[in-house]
Amino acid sequence: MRNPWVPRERHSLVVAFALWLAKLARPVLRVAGVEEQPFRELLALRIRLDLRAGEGLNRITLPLVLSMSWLSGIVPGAASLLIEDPFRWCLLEMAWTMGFLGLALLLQLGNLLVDPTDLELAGPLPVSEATLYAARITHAFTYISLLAVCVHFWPVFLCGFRLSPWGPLALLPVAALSTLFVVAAVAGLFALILRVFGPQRFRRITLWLQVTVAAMGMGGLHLMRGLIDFEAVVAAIDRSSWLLALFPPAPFAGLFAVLTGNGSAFHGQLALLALAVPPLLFVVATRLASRNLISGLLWSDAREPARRSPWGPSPFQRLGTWVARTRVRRAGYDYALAHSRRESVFLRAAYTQVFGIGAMAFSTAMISSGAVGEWNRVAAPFALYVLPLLVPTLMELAAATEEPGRFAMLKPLPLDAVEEFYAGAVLGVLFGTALPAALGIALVASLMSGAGLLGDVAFAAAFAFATSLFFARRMAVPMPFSRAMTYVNVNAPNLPVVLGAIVAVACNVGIHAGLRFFAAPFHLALTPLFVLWCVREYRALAPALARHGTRADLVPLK
Amino acid sequence: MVPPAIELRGLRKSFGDKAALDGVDLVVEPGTVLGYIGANGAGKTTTVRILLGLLTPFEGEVRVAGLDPRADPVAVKRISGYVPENAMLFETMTVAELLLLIGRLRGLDDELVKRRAEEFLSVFDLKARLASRVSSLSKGMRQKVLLTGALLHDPEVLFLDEPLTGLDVNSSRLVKDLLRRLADRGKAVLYCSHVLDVVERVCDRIAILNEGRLIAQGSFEELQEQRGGGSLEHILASVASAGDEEDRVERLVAALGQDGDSEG
Repeated sequence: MRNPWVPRERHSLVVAFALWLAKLARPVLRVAGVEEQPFRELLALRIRLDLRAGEGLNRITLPLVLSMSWLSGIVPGAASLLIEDPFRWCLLEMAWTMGFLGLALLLQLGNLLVDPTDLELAGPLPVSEATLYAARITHAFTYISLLAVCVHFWPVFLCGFRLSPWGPLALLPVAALSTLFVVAAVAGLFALILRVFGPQRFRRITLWLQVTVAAMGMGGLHLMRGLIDFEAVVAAIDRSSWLLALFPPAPFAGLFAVLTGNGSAFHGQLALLALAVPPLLFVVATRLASRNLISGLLWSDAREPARRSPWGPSPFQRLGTWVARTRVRRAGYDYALAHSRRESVFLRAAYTQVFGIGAMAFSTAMISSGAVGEWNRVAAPFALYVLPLLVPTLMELAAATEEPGRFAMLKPLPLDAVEEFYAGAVLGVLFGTALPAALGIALVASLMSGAGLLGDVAFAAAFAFATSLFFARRMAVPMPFSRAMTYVNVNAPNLPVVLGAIVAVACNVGIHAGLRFFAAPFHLALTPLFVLWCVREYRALAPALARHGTRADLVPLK
Repeated sequence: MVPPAIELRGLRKSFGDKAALDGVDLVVEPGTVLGYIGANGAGKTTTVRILLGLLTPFEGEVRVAGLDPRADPVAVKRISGYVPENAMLFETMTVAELLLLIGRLRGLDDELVKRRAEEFLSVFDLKARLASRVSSLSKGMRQKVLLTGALLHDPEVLFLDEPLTGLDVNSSRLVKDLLRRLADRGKAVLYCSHVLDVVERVCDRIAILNEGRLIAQGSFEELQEQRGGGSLEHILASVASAGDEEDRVERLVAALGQDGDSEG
């Protein structure tokens, strides 16, 4: 019989890697005022809980996420064969990878820094808040490091051929420091918010910070084109090169130049910054979070209730009477609708996705509004085609909740048709949140991009709506808002659907463009066909959900 | 001189416009079991969270065994044990892993944790469940695990928020006797509960909280004297009642009798 006092994951590679990182960072931890033993315990605990939350799925999904990161490194890797100057190449490489990792941290892993899951237990225990926060930062750093290893693979492999034979060796410490910089900078920003705005507003402001940065990262560059004169910035850097040090990738490029033997005195100064800033940021972040962290993470808003009657139906509740016909199904619909407006795990992830993809759509619209002729007409309704991508993503995100225990309150209810409740809840996510959010963004962006295109917009809207429903009814959605959140998994059976949606976005744009060029305006005659397709998909949706409900993991209710 | 185990002076705490605690003054000496009672939302859990340094900011002076939880929350937690009412335990951990984790985070030696935990769990008839996942435990079993975790380091001050919820009769009696014995050994216990007959029997002193204000405190006998006798339930009803009970029950029953529409 297994000794109950020995944890199962004693030999887990991820836990071992995280603890190795902790050992490596011992001097920095000491300066940051972190207690080593509790820190190691908390770090191992957080990763073990992640590994256990998605048992059986990690083998499929983790390699998939890592291989996507691996593929994204091909661009900066190939650039090393074209750019001869090590500093310039590394500047590009760092900008690419730090941007990628920063977005991954804010979009996928931002909750790691602010979730309150371990506080019910660890909060009343004698562990300093600096230690709690340091464990969170290192937890995030562990996953971001795994992604960084994959993103940097091609650059490390290819930079030795043309740039410098020492390139691969030199890039390793540079990559490690830049990864630490990304995680520590985000953690530092969160801790600064805690200090400046206090625990009451901490979670709300960090949420909006995440949303803003995600939106800027995904579509903001285009939006900023109108606000920033990039030529003036480049000219200013040429006049005063120290300004370059303010661009985060530059110090790391300087370090790379020095390590490969191509560094100037200026590169040497940048290298010193690269060595000092990441650990310093880590120390500052932990020190800033050493007061009020628990209070900030546990704080629940006691806002005044809304003025309208608590029983008065909102427009989306009214919609529920149409899409969820039976009472049990309606109960499921309202349950999901209420959670989708208040569940912080969902809101944090969904807002970043919605605003990020929205910013991408708006920036595309702005570009197309400046374009001329037929290109304008093709690009304008493009924003609508984000629908088939955003809808499955939001439905997938709706599975998790911060407090899965609360789901148990449904248990004593006489839910003899659990599948009905399930179907209603999935419809609540789909019609109460996912479709309206995606459709709203896409329509506004499409209409922004050019006037007189209503025919094209209607064509694209019907096409995208039908495609979204097509994918939505093929998804294996777990019972919404019933599972503990986890960071290393996505729902494996939905991967083909999500990948299919990505392909569908490209195909829909291609079909639309082809028809517009070769069959305009007759392609608009297809709009009614797509509307009929929408009706067909909608009718098939509820039976498909009920069928899936019989297979879905509804144990919490049965 | 030994400082009071718990000392609150003019404690105020607000959430937005709503005052959760409004000038609470309270002193609990070592060796005392204090029953801290009041209606739902009266501010009991908020008080405990402030005492443990989990909730800031607040107004007023707070000390636990002479320590300021605002200035040094870790020191306060080191000498305190806490059993929350609805703890979100880590469902995928086993009982042994959970207790070992608590022990390590409290800086206890592994062997000491194992020895104490096995002893406690065998008294609670739970030793066989050491390797079971928390998710497989009943509410009462979870409560026993939480109690074990809170007592592992032999705390000076114990904060208990409805500790008997879900416990069977024998375990419940065991815990009540345990609290008395702990008080006899000089520990202070802040006992939040709605089970008033237990509070009556176990607690040396009782403090009644109503809408964030401390409206009465003293021993059960003193409270009886002030309120003209009766059980604690009667005393509580006389100082913190929301209205005529009979009328309220009547309204509840009447609401049940109202016609409902049929499924459409």
